[in-house]
Amino acid sequence: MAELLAPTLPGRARMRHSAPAAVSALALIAMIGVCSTLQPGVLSVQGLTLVLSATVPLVIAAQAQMTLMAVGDIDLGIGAFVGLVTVVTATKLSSSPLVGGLVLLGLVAAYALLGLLIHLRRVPSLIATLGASFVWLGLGLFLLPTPGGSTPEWLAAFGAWQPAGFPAPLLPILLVTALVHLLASRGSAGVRMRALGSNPVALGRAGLRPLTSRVIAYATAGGLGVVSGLALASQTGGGDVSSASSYTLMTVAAVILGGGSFSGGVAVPWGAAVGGVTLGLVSVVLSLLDVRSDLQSAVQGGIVLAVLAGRVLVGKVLR
Amino acid sequence: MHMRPSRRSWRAAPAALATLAVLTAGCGSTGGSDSAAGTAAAGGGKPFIALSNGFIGNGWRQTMIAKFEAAAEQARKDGLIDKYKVVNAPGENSATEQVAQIKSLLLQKPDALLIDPSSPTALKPVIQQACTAGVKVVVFDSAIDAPCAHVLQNSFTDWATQAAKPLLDGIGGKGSVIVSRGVVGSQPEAEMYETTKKILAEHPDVKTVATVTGMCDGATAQKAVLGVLSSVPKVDGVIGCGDGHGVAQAFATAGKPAPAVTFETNGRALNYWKEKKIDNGSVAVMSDPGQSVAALWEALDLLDGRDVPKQLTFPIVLVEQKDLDAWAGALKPDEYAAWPWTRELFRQQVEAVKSGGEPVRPPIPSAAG
Repeated sequence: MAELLAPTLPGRARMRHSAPAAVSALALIAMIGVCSTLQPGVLSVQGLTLVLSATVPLVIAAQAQMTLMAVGDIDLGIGAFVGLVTVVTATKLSSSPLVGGLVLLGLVAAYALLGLLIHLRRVPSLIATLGASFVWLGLGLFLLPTPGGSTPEWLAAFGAWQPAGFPAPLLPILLVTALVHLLASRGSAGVRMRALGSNPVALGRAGLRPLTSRVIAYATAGGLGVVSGLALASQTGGGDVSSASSYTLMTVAAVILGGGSFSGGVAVPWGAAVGGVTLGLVSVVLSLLDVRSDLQSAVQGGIVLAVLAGRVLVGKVLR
Repeated sequence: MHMRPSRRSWRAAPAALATLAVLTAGCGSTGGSDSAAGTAAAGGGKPFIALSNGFIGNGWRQTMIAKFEAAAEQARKDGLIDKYKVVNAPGENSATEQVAQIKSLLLQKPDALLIDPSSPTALKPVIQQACTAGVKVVVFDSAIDAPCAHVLQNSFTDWATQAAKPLLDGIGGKGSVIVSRGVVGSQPEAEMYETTKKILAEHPDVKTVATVTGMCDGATAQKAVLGVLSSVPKVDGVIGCGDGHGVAQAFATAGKPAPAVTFETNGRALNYWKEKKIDNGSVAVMSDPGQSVAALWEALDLLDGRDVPKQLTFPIVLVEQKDLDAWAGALKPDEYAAWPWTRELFRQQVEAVKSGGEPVRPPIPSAAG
């Protein structure tokens, strides 16, 4: 995994870049190990399907967050946005696919517009995306005041798809992460985005427009948010605008766990995927362990803190 | 994600070890705790019961879980079940977390799954998955639109009726009232508000002077009621959904005499009611946290192949003036009044539902526990 990230970096820098993700990956492996000793069924195809399926929308939303964090912004609206997409899916997309598809495209455009506004008006992304989150929430409540609706046949079928040979949730996780990796590490758009995050002045001096980079990043995040909402709707079978509200901060934590940083300039698609799956697995570990019910939330927080502490420690050692 | 066995992974080792240590410490401390699920091996065909709870952040849910754990532990000692397990979704009533937890519970192959759902719709696919895997699913506390699950719940119409009727009788069927609504936008609240409006229409001498949103929460209702108190002349009663403690305090803050209110059914509110010697038609009414225990008996009866209707409505908890001392003495401050369902009482109630007869009235528990 680490080798995929930045082949041209010198050894030590590369190590610094990938060590956090390595810590998260180790924690992930440890968790799967703990799970499989408690419940050997976890390692079967069916077991992995059950355990991983809930992490799919979270991982995809984490990719959206990672894209924005790479340009130095933070998205506080992604949870509400994913919730809004499930609502659109459960209402418009199932009643008339064309209108639904157009609405979803419109939502991606709205994200691009948000990026445009943030860049031109120099609004801090924290404020703008927080404000946008209320717009998403309001739109969602307007379309579907109480949770309900039904997902289109094809989406429900995808949610229930269980191929024999491999765990189905791995496919969307790997596919989306690979796409984001190609965009962020191989394409010129990715280089520009990271440059915008680390040194916008240099980007400007190079004759490239930072505006384009930011808009591309926001459009990408919007697109990934839509995919995440579709994945979530395929599992919940309906729309609920508040169903993903926890994603906002979970995705930030996933990116940080995966080696991203608040100051931007780092794109860590594989790290974010590992971070997302790790966070998603914490509750699985908890339910497999016989943790006292009144301690479960505290233990969950403890595990996340431990992984984060491991990441910080490694960062210190390598500095 | 393969890694070269290089200096990098060697450097990462201490941190990873620390992480592992915390993880295993978590296991160790919990393994040694006494209240975790029974770990008796080889159940000899006795069932494994799992409970998934969507939210643990309020006293009602905590009472619900405590009652279930006590009843399930007893059932295990009595040899009725092999083991049981309770999982609470962390966070603010998150449906996605609960879906993930139910999925990992399914891996452990329970015989029956009890669910206090965080969403009326989002759990549908995973419940279907559980049914397909041959698990008996009992959803309690709130309805869910999943055809294969059995639903056990309290009637929200009864709740609203019991909150309004005794109170309106208590104030003599005339005067001014404030209506404090619950979580506006939720299905149960819509049903309850409709009922309240219908009952108020039957009492033409009662005037509704204000409608506030109390969210079924004492602190929220206190603020909301305080906000309108200055603009209304005299209030005889406040019809709410278990927020009376806060409402009574709002009136005390404003220096006005306490009107008839609908108290919470927890020890703190009931003792406040008792100590202030409020006797004006106030009642305490809420849904029954003992539903989790009733759901346990339902699951066992389903596993025994007994005939249980798909929809069961169980009585809510209503505390009137005459029962106040008994309940107030039996409850800890943060414990909510729960009917002590036994298997016998559960079956009687099922018969009552089948025949459409009067609901069973279980005895008021005598001591906290």
